[in-house]
Amino acid sequence: MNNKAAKNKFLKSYEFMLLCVVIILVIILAAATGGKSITPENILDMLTSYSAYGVIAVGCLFVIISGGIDISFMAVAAVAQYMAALYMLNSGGNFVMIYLISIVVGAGLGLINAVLVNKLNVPTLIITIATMNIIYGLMMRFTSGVRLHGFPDWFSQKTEGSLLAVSVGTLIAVLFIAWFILKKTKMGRKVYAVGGNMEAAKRCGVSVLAVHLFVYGFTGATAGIGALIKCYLSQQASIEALYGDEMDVLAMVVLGGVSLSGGKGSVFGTVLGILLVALLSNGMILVGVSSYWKDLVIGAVILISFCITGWRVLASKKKEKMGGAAE
Amino acid sequence: MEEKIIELKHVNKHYGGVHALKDVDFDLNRGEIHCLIGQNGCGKSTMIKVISGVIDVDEGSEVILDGKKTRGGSARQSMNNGVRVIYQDLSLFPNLTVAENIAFDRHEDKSVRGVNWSEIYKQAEEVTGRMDIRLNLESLVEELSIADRQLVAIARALATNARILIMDEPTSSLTRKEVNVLFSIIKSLQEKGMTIMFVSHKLDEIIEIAERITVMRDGTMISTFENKDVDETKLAQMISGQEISYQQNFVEHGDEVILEVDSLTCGKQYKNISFKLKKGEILGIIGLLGSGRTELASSVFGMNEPESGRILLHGQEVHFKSNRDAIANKIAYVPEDRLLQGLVLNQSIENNTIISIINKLKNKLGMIDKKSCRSITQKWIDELHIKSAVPEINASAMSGGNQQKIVISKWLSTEPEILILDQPTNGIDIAAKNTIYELIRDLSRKGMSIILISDEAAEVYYNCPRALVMHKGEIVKELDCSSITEGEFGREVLGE
Repeated sequence: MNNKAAKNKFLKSYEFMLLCVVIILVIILAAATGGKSITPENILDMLTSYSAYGVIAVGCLFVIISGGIDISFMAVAAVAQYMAALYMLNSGGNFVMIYLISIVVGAGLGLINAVLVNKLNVPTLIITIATMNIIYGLMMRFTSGVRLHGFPDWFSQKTEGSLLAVSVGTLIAVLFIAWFILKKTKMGRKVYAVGGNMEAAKRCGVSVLAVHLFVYGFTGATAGIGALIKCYLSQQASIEALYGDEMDVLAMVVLGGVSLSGGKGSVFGTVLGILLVALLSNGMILVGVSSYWKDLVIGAVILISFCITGWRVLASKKKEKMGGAAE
Repeated sequence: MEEKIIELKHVNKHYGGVHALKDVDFDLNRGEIHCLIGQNGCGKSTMIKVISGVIDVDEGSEVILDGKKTRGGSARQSMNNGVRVIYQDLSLFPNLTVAENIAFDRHEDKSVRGVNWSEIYKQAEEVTGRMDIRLNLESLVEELSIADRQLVAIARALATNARILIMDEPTSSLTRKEVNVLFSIIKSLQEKGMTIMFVSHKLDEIIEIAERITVMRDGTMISTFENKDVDETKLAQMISGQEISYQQNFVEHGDEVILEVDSLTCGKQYKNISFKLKKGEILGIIGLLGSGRTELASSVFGMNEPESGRILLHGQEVHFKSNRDAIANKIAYVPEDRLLQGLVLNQSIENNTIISIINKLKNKLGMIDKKSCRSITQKWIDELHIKSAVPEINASAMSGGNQQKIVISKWLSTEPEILILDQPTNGIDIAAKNTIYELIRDLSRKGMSIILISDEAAEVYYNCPRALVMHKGEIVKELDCSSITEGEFGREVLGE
């Protein structure tokens, strides 16, 4: 692709529009807060607190590109968080071990989703709502809702550096890995292929089961990692830590420009989606708006962004009608 | 002696209780273009699956590839055998670029590691170069025209070093010009040693391209012919097993003008269209894809507001805000793409039939009256001779011809005075076509006025006493079909 065409394509893309919105939002917030929102402390603070959901959003991106959806990730995250916390309380452990445990537990539960999705031929929304409820139910039964805290020193003695590494550092690593998988590996391309046309993928010899195992396993793993970050920030593990925030995560992915019918979405878009949600929430706190308004504003932003997208499609269709019909 | 690349001997295939292929003998010569024809449901698709090796055959059957007996099993295996099928839906990835679609097999090739984008573009360039075509490799496939998508599908097959290329109805949504391009590519592939099997309904195209033609009926092989030994009429008889008369059979119609269109114009879609439609008349509109024919029809049906001009019904000017107004004025429109616009495939025949009159079927309590739904559906099933005869069965289970009848019955149940049929026989076989033509004549005898839109000259010539030729958005000619021969008609349409 020559550079000019590439530039043109980018200027017309949804990502570009989103980038503009994010920049405008940063400027407005900076003005409204008298520059408070763009101090390095605030920016780091904001990124730290949104890194957990950011990581999970990346996993959701994969499932949605493959043409499905996952609602169970917060339940999966809760299990992974509990397991990692139990391990720390019983055997001390270290960072490598708890990362491993979170990833393995998360991915393992994700694989169960994958097998159900692949074999049952029921909408993924239904399956993952069911697994979410089963997992929450079992968690309540076995933990009685008890919160875990009082972790070993290596986990509870946070420094500024360790905090950044665990939160923002992990997020950046996950974003890079996700970008690499989607762009540079065969599995990543097959995820797009299955999302674009599953029947065609089968006819080309793609194993849809392998793709499902991969995407749901990956989502589970990111849920585990996200849960660990959350645990590190709050220094406790509990069922309700992440409960109910499913829609915030999905909002990040949706605002990032995925197509819910599958086949489309990018890591860059998701980064912008994460930033947008983080900026809105953080900005409203700084301006002094009650946090109850956050959901309303995010809802409105989603609606507006989709209206603009729809309107663009209509406009281009109209142009076609006036110009193109007679060849 | 021709060398046989693949040979089927006494092949039987059962699907559950259905005997899909009955003792079939068939062969493909290396480097030939071979056409397979037959009615919907005659076993063509099963044949494609057997030849490509996607399915296995019954015990005692023999499939011989390159002189060696093989067994079928998976999509992967058939590709390894060098057999590629281009299905009617093309099986492309709309969300991926042209280049990645063409080179997609790299993702499944174990000897390729990772994804190397410059290699993908290089391979795509190499293949399109070999085909001597130009495609924008960076475009997404969804941005392409159907004709270009077809080329991408062929390119993808070539990228895997296919030796046998099977194409399932590749021309059904192409314009004549695009078909010519496709045929010249097929011929150049043949020169390079490719064996091509071509499945189609369009007899004129088959005669044009095929060297040998095999006819199937009800799962059995009727016969294989050399091209020079057959003509369209003979093939048509072979396919249906019955004498098909190609005779003009016009129905007398009255003089009362039902619909008048007066200098109707809509942007660049069509301009200055005027015509009159009389009671009981079958008026043909013939024009290629992109001639504005469909846009004109949807304007008459209230779905595409014209910029200027008038539409008069019984001499009264009407303005349709939406198709609901048109339906209320007793106009019905059977769209071009029956699957996309006309049928709810996963719903029953009954639900498809009554959907357009559902408001009239309410009883006193405002509930849908099940009994009258059933009786109306049954009435149309009987009247149109729809074969399945059970209202509960899903529309998706029906053959193309029967699906078309369901769409027509849906609109007939609104009791229209004017019926607009847009390409009513696209993609259905000859026997089913004939029953549709009989149905159209029958309706006109009962006083219904019909506009038959088509790009097939024969269809219009044999059914419509009067035909309008559309080209680039304008009516360029009005032809009286009874006073000219079919050949003259064809030349007039092409503008020669």
